[in-house]
Amino acid sequence: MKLKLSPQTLLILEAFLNHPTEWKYGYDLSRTTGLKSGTLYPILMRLADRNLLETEWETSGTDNAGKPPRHMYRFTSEGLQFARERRQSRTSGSTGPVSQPALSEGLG
Amino acid sequence: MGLPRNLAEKLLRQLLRFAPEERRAWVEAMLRELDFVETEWAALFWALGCTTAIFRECLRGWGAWLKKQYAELFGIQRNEEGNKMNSTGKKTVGVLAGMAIALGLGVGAYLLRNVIADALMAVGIQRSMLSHILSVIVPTELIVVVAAILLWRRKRAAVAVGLLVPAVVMGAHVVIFLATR
Repeated sequence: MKLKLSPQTLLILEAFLNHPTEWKYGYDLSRTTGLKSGTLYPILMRLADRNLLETEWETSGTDNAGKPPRHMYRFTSEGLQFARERRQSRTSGSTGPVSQPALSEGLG
Repeated sequence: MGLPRNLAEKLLRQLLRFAPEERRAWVEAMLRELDFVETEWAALFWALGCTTAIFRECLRGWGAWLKKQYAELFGIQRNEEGNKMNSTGKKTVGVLAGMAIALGLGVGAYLLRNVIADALMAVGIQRSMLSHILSVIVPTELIVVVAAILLWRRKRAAVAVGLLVPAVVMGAHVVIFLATR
C-alpha cells in the first residue's frame, strides 16, 4: 500500500522524530509545528487510528499545578519506523510515497 | 477567566456532549489543553479550530458511510481490505459529487435570482435578460470553473469533471438560447 503525506503531516512526524520516545502534548505540538488546532488534531487522530501514534492520559503524578491530566502522544514502534523511512526517502531525494502496509488510505 | 476563554470552554464542553462516541476522548484532550493556551483570544481560536476538526471528522464519517451505501447499492467492487473503493468506484463517486455540487450551486443561484435582480434595481440596473445572464449565470459559471481548476490542481480531477459537466451544459444552453433569439 502506498501513502502520500501532506506537508502538515510531515511537520508533525518531524516534531515527533526530534525526541521519539518523549510524550508530547497537543498544544505544545501546535506551537512547535505552527499548526492550528483544526489542522493538528485531524492528523493526530489519523495517525493514532493507523497505530502510528500511541495516546495516553497523563498520570496524576505529573505536576501541572493542580490542572487536570493532559492527553499525550508518542510514536509506536511502527510509527517510528514509518517516520524514519519517510525521512530517509526524502533525504535520499525520492519524492514518491512510502510503503506502509498497515494503512488503507492517505493521511492529511 | 475572561469572556473569550469562557466561550472557548463552553464551546468545547458542548462539543464533548455532541461529538461521536469514538472522538470524545479527543475532545476531552482538546478541552484539557485549553488550560495551557496563554492568551484569552488564542484559547477561543484554539476551541474554534478544535470544533472545525471534530466537525470535519463527522463529515468524513458520514462520507465514508455514504460511500459504503453507494458501493453496496450499485454493487461496486471494493478491494481486499474492505474499506477502500476501487479506482472506478472512486472516480464515479467523485464525478457524481462534483455534479451534485454544481447543481446545488445552480439551484442556489436560481433561487437568489430575484434577490440579485432587486439589488441591481436598487443601483439603477433594469431587469433584463442580459442583466440576468451577467449577474446570475456568468458568476455561477465562473465559480464552478475556478473551483474545478483548483480541484484539478489538487488532484481531484473526478470532482472537477463532475463540476464542469453541468457548467458546460448550462453554458451551451445559454449560447444556443442567445443564438436562436
